[in-house]
Amino acid sequence: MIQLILFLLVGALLLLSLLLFAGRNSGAEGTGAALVEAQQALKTLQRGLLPAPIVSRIFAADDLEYVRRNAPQNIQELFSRERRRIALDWVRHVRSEVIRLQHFHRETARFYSELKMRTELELALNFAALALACRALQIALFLRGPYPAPRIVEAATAAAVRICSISEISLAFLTPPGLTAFDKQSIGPAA
Amino acid sequence: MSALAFSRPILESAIASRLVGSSIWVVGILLQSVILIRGMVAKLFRKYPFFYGNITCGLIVDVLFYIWQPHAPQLYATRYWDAQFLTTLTGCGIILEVLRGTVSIFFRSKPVTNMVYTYVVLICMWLAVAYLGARNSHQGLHNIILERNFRTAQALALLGLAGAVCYFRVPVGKNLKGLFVGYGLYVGVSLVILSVRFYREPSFSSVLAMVQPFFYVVALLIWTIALWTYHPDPAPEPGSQFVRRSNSLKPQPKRSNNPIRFGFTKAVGS
Repeated sequence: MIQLILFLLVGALLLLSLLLFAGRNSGAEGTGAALVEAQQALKTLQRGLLPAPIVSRIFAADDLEYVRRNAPQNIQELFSRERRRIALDWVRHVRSEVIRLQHFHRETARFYSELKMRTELELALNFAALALACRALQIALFLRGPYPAPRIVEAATAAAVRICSISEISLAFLTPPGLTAFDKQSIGPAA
Repeated sequence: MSALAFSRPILESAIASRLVGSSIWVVGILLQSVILIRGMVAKLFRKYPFFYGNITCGLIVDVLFYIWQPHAPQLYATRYWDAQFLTTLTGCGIILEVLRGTVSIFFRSKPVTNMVYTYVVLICMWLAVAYLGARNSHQGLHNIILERNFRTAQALALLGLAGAVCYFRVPVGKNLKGLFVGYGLYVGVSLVILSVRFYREPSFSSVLAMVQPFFYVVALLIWTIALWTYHPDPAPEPGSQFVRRSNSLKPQPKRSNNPIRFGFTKAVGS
């Protein structure tokens, strides 16, 4: 019976993968838009979302302490709600920008002539771990308020910073000189 | 993948089953003919030779078996598995077509493409050896196990291919997408039916026995639509910065050939 279940599982997985395969968009690749999008994602992360002062400000408990000491109960609740909303927005943005970088990485990886299965698997796991950490942080923020797990915040930020610095090397390598000028003009201040 | 022929002559079944079985068979033969005619008109034979080879082989087998069925049931019974083996083997050509259009063009890594091709060749060789080795026994159950195992190997190949294409966002044209979806559907359903059949033989329902040929007709319908005209697969733009930049690195030393992946590789410690 176990054997039957295994065969049925393989068959079901194949049929499921067909749905994904049939539903995917098969647009042409290699457009400059993909590169510009990745650059924008990188700049948003580096300048807008990951700088240490911004992260520490969003998750700093000092503000909460101050409000607790000096403001009435309803203001404290309002502060907590607002801070949680900001923190959730921050995590959501980090996650979506990292996913954009990952998409770009996947598209360019194919052109690498020394592609290795092991490295690709490890990379996929790294990206997945970061996405998972972001999701865990979102759940913790949702359930326990704006200051739930500073270690998860630190870990997620460190991993995102590492991915950014790696992506920067890739993007610098892939950006033709003409596009650098365009990049400087077109990408405004980070979000 | 003779697919339209039934393991037992349908004349031995009830009238309703016979009627449905004959309809599936005739519709399938018509669709195979339409695919071949459209292939000639739209000049697709050169583009997808393995696929059209498989359809041609399937059509010959299916027409022969349709004619033999009422006149020579003994011949039908003895030659059914030979035909099934032959068409299953040529069915691997469809996987090769998808490989040619995706992995070979869009992956620059030779070890990856070589590994995939080796896998397909090995499973074909394994099927050939396993079938011919036990050919004299002519046991239906043994052949069901063999076909089920072969379909599993094909399903794993298709799963890996679908995973790689989706993960690396490889662009796939309408023709190849149709080939993949049609064949994947048939292989997936065949695997499920053969697995159940192995446990239910000899009391396997004649209605369930028609599911596999029915889904082959569905696959033929998908192929007819997808291959009605030629849709060129999206190719890397000649001026694409990815291609241009990666091509410009070819003469450089090995270490400096890696900047895209070097950072990532370093990050994961390999």
